[in-house]
Amino acid sequence: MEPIVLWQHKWGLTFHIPWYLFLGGLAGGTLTVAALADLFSGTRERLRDFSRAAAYVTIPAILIGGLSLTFHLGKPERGFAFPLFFTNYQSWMTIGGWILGAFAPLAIAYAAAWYLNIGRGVRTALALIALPLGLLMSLYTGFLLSATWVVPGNRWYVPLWDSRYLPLLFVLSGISTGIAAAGLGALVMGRWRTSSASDRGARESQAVAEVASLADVAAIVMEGAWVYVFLASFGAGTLGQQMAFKLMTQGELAPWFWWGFVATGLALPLVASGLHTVGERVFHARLGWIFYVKFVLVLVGGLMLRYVIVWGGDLKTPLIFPPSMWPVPGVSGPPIPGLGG
Amino acid sequence: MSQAQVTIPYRQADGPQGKKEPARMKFYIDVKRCIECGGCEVACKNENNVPPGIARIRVVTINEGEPGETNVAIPCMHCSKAPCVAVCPVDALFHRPDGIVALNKETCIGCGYCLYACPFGAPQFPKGSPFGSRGVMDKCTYCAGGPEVAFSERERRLYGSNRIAEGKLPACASVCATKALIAGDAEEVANVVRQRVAARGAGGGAWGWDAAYGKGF
Repeated sequence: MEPIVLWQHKWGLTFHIPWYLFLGGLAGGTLTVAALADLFSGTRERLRDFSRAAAYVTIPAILIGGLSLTFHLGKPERGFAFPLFFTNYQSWMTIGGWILGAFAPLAIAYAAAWYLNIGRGVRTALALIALPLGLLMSLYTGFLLSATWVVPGNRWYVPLWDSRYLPLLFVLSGISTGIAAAGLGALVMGRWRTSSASDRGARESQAVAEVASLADVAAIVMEGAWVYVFLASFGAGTLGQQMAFKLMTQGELAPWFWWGFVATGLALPLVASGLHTVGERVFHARLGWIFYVKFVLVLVGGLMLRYVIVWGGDLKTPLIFPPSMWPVPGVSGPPIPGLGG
Repeated sequence: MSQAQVTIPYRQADGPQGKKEPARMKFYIDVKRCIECGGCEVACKNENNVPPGIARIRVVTINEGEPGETNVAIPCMHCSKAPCVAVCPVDALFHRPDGIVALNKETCIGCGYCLYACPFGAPQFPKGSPFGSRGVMDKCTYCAGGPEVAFSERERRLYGSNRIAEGKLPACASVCATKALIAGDAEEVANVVRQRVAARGAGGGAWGWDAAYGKGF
């Protein structure tokens, strides 16, 4: 029997949702790494500079992301007043509204603590809240998508948005793009500072970028490993998962996935890091510009990943219900989760 | 907003406690009978003034031109445990006492979450504006209007007609020439389906039977 696949569009039609998922995950990642670097910096100047840059970068990311989220709504004014209107607390959109509502003020307070140079005690207290909240922010963007219900037999209506793979993928991508954004922010801010002062600012930001680059390699490797697990289990999964796998790796989304995400976001940044290491260590060349390229590549890759995931969400699991799965109350055993008995 | 009381159909017989039980309104689409005439689509658009670009019911054909070609009309199935109701952040989607999944266009924020949660593609969005798909959601109302004063001009403009309050069935089911699309209280619908399945023998053409149990059972 040929499956019925219903194609529906909305979130992939405009830039709002993919950009929000990208910027929201990125902001969660930057705040997490900022808090981590701050808490474990000790006396190391580099880590503290990195933390400051990450805290600053979080602000535009969450503001632009939040605005694009709000303005994708048919009624944006109700999105701003979400505590009044969002009444269904089993919906991830309501939970996410509160996460975002807590995240944005905290990110601003944390950046302000850096900017105004308030004592370390206040910053540490903020960082201790920011660390879990940043992770939650990236995590929720994944759960938001994957909460599109489960049918009996663990088949998802939207197979690509599987809650076993997507939230962690978005967290890892959020951290890798967050580190890249923080590194890029440090480079840009260092350049901006040098134009007025000496060469010292540039050297400092270069050192911060090296830290970010190294940390990003670890994040990218973990992300790549998880993408492999994701794809491998989908290729051998249920019918809907196999269709999603084919759409992503061989179908219309394949160029976006392979070139846009895997090559741009995972492979080329690692190549760039390798080139930089070889160039500096072996040929003693000054290759600071490679960091710019690498961070931009990681960011573009992260954005493309969100586009592929959102576009791929148009594919729905075929509606095949074998009669053996029809719940007969009181006859065929315990009630089926999600359908009742 | 005036929250008018909804007119609810009741079951023919009284419930176990002697109380009148609200009916549980359902659709059933018999894939062995649907001939893809499109009468339900036209009747729905005509009855409800459906905005352009939205099909509250549409006929899907699978295996077209091949052996085993099957047609099935897909409206909102008014699920008992509706995924759209579960994900809607503002409770704009809700169950009426008679089981109809109703929509409140006054509170819908147009986020599109229900669209992705629904396996039938029932919630849809208008596509007329310069920014693509904007505005609030639109879906099959089971010809029961919305949470407004019944038969008011406002209800007619926002949701379409209210045949349930008139004591009629949805327009699509009323016009179906082959009685492939039947509507009504779940018990009545189940009785009809049971008779048809019994008349057809094992499997009865139930969707997925062959896949699960093989042919010639």
